[in-house]
Amino acid sequence: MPEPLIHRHRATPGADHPAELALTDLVETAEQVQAAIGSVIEGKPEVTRLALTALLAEGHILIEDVPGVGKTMLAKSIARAIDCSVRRIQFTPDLMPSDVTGVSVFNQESREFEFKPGGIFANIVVGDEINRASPKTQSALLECMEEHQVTVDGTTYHLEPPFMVVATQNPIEMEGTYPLPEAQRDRFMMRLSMGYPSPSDEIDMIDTHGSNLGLDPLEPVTDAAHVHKLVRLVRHVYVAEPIKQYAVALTAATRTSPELRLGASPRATLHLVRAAKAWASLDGREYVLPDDLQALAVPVLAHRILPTAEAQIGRRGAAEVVADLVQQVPQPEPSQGR
Amino acid sequence: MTPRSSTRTVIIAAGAALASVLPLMAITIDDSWLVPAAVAVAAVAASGFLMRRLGIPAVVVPVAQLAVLVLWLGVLFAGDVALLGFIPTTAWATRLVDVFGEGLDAITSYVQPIPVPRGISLMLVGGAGLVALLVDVVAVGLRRIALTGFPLATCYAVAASVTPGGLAWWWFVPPAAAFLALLISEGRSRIMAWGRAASPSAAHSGIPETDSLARNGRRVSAVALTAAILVPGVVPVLSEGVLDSGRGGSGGGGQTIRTDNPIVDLQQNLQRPENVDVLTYTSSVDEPQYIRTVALDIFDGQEWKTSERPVPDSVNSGLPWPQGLDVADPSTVDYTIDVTDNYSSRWLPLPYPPRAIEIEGDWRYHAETLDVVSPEDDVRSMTYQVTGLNIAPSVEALRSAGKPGDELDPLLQLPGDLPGIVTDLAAEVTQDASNDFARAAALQSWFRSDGGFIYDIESQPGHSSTALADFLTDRRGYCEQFAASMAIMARALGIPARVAVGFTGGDYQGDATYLVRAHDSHAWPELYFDGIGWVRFEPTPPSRTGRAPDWTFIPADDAPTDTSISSASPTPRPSASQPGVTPDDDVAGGGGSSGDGPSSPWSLAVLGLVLMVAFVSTPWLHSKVVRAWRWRQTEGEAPDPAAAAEAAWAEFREAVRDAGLRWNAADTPRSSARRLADEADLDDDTRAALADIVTATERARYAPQALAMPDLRSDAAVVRRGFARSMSLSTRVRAFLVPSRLRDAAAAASKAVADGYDWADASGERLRTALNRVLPGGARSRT
Repeated sequence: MPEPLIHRHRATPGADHPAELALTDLVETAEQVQAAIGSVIEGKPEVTRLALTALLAEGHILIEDVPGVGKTMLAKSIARAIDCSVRRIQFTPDLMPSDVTGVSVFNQESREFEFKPGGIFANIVVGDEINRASPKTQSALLECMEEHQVTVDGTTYHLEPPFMVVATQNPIEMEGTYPLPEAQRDRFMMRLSMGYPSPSDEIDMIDTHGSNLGLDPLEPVTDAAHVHKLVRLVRHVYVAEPIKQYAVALTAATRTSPELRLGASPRATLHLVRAAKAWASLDGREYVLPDDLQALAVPVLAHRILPTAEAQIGRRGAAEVVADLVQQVPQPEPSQGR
Repeated sequence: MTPRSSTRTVIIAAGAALASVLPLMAITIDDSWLVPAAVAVAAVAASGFLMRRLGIPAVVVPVAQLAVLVLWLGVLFAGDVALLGFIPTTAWATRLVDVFGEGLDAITSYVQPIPVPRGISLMLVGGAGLVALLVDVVAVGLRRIALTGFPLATCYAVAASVTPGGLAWWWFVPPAAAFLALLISEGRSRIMAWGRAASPSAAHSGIPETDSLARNGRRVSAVALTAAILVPGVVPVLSEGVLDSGRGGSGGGGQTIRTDNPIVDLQQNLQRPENVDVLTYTSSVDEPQYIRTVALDIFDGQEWKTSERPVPDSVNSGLPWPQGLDVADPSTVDYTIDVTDNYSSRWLPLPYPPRAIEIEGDWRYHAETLDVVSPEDDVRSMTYQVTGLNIAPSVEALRSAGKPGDELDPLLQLPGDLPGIVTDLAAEVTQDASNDFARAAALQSWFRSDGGFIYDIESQPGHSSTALADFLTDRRGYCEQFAASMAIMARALGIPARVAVGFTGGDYQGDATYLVRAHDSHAWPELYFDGIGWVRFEPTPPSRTGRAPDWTFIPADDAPTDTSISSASPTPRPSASQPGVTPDDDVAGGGGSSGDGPSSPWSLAVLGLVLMVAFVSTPWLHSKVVRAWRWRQTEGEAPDPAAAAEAAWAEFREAVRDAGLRWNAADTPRSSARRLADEADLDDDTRAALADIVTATERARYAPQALAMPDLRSDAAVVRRGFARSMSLSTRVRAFLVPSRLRDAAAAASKAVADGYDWADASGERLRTALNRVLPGGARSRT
């Protein structure tokens, strides 16, 4: 069996491969972005990294946490660090679908209908307090997220890549909210929690932002076109057969776990692998490790599953259940002869 | 208990009852009784189930079940005299009682394997039904599942105790497995009483060990069952001891003397309260004659027994010339032997050596021993004529007898674990003797008088190696031990020997007639001398046997003469171990045979030690060899970096498992290395080597290209040593004796067995599910 392994991966990059870029560029850019975000958000490098992962993996983020920990700040600082178009949609109960997608208005001068783009037409869309809007408006947004396009009055408008929706919601402020149905939560690649900062970070924050709460110190370090190239680069990260098996085993375990009422969807598997590619590329690695999947399992899977009543009584949330499953699902055995 | 679980228990209980009577197949000639027995079991179980469902009082149920069983026996054995084939009549009852009586008679008169006339058949079928009834009452009625072990084990014990030499080990499996199944089923029933049981398919989902508790339980039972089968096989003493425990039991009161294993029945016959008549014989020379039934020519360390003997030739065509007899024209003696109806045997009592026999029936001879045996006929109440030879060898002829031929080598064989005292005493007693005959004579006189032995019929029966060692120490016993010891010691001295079982000459009744009775039962050794053949010796003290045979006395001052014949030829021993390991200074001339073979405990000890060391280090050696082989695979002409990485990884895993640390299959290479390095508190060099292995493994498994790393093998060795340093002494010993590789194999085997039980246990559930799918209406109505 001469040279069995050397050319397992495609030797020539695919047509889509941005040949002029290497992973080192990606790592460099990512570090700059992280540093930039870190200058306005103290002590949250993991969350920042996860957000970057979602951006590079063409996913969307749902940030869920109590008010005032910097959800919106995170979304805005990502957008700011990358020189790209940003729109912010503040979701309220009276927000209409056309406010999101856009509307055709009759132009008196040209005597024609003219499309006025909604808030969705941007590279990064911040959907603030998404669960305050009516389900109808929520679905309008979610449709755009999935399709990367908007259809108004029979005309389809494509959204410019990169395109990422960063939605935030408050878990405790339940009055007057419409909780996202699981089918819609499934469309977000990750759900992140900011968490409270550590006391020292909070003190630093007072020092830094005592006078200035804005994004002023943040200068863009890259632009949309460059990010789009990086996204295409991430697509070519290598996923070995055991990794695919392991990803499937992880999601399959959520479907059979006695603690879960609803397991993860096949889309979750897809998202998990895509996110793992981006996560690996942030390490400068051109292949995915099972460690990447393990690191991403909770943010990618936990918001898609529903614990049973028994698990809830036992105070075991979805995140704990997923974390336990990661500790239980065995690694695929390397096939014989390798 | 829910109806469903009760159904399951009923079915499994019936299966267990049937499984427990299966071992009886080992002692019957044909299995025609099996199907009726199965029907009986099914009838008992089904009737019990129906009656319980109909709410009939629990007290009545067993009685009704018994009635059902009797009715079924009536259909089988008295169908022609019953109304419509099954309704009882007076004749029906008489018939059943008669058949039962026939069975009782048959049981006492047959030896195994027994044919199955209707009497025996009735007892087997009825017995199976009764066991089913008992198990049903205990398991379903009283719901004391564990207690069903009692009837089940009893049933097995019956078969085991009446089988000579014990049942083969695998007969133990069906009843034990059925009992386990009952226990497991009870566990399920108990859980199901709390609600719906989790689907058995959950055990096969991606999540491992959700039912680890249940599986552990099954593992324990599977291991216990395996141990129960294997351990008696490995421990030689236990095997026979357990299985034969029932043999000395009954037989005191009845009139009939049954001959099964003749030597085992010896003491029983000697101690019978009534000294019943066995046979009378008339002899044309008007002299008492030992009457032999069988010659036992194999000693296996536990007992003397007959070899496997093909007996193709009928005695009607004449008997062969006695083995080894080289006398031109010996005189003949005519006997008429008349066996009473008290004596039942397939072996024909005969004087030795017979030349011609006139008898009715199918009697066949075994050429070497001249034993006559019938495959089906019984000697009870028979009369027959025998022409025998009168051999009275002279001392000169015996003394000058040559070396026995190679064909007699099997009659020299002794078990390897013979106690040293036997061979040592044999050598000591015969140290002054210069030829085989002189040695035999010396042994005999030592047993009879010089050794201070006491004849005691009350002593413990048995003549296993250990029993004999006791006998030679206590010097108290009866003919069984005298004969067995002398034969063994003769063999140890290189003289072919066997044990004959039969009767002494009996009491003279006048008119050339002798009466032989039960208390005349006897055993004596026969020794082989070339040219004369098999010669009877009499080691049992004179208080019991009177005068020893004339030819066994050596004239005084005669012993050390004629050395030319025998001393020059130390008998070659077929199974001798290393000669010369032990200095044998008490056997000077001609005693070469006592220096080798089983008489050298030191060589045995050394051999045993070597074997033990080899056995103990086998797993460790095996791991080492496998490791070296694995690395060889990765080297050579086309080095395979991926295989090398996997080899290093496998070695790391084995090192971890050997160190007693937990290997978590869910850990990634990176995380397991991190965790285990901390747990084993590895030093920096080892950590670096481990990091290399992790990198190589990750690249091999997950990267587009494996990375060739030259030092993986030495890295693996460093890691192995690093983990070895972290081990305690006991862990090291365990890793040496039971490497992880062996544990894995054992775990896999145990899991396979446990899963087999799972599968079998869930099969009822699966069947019901399948049926529900086919018959949806029926399913609704049942639940």
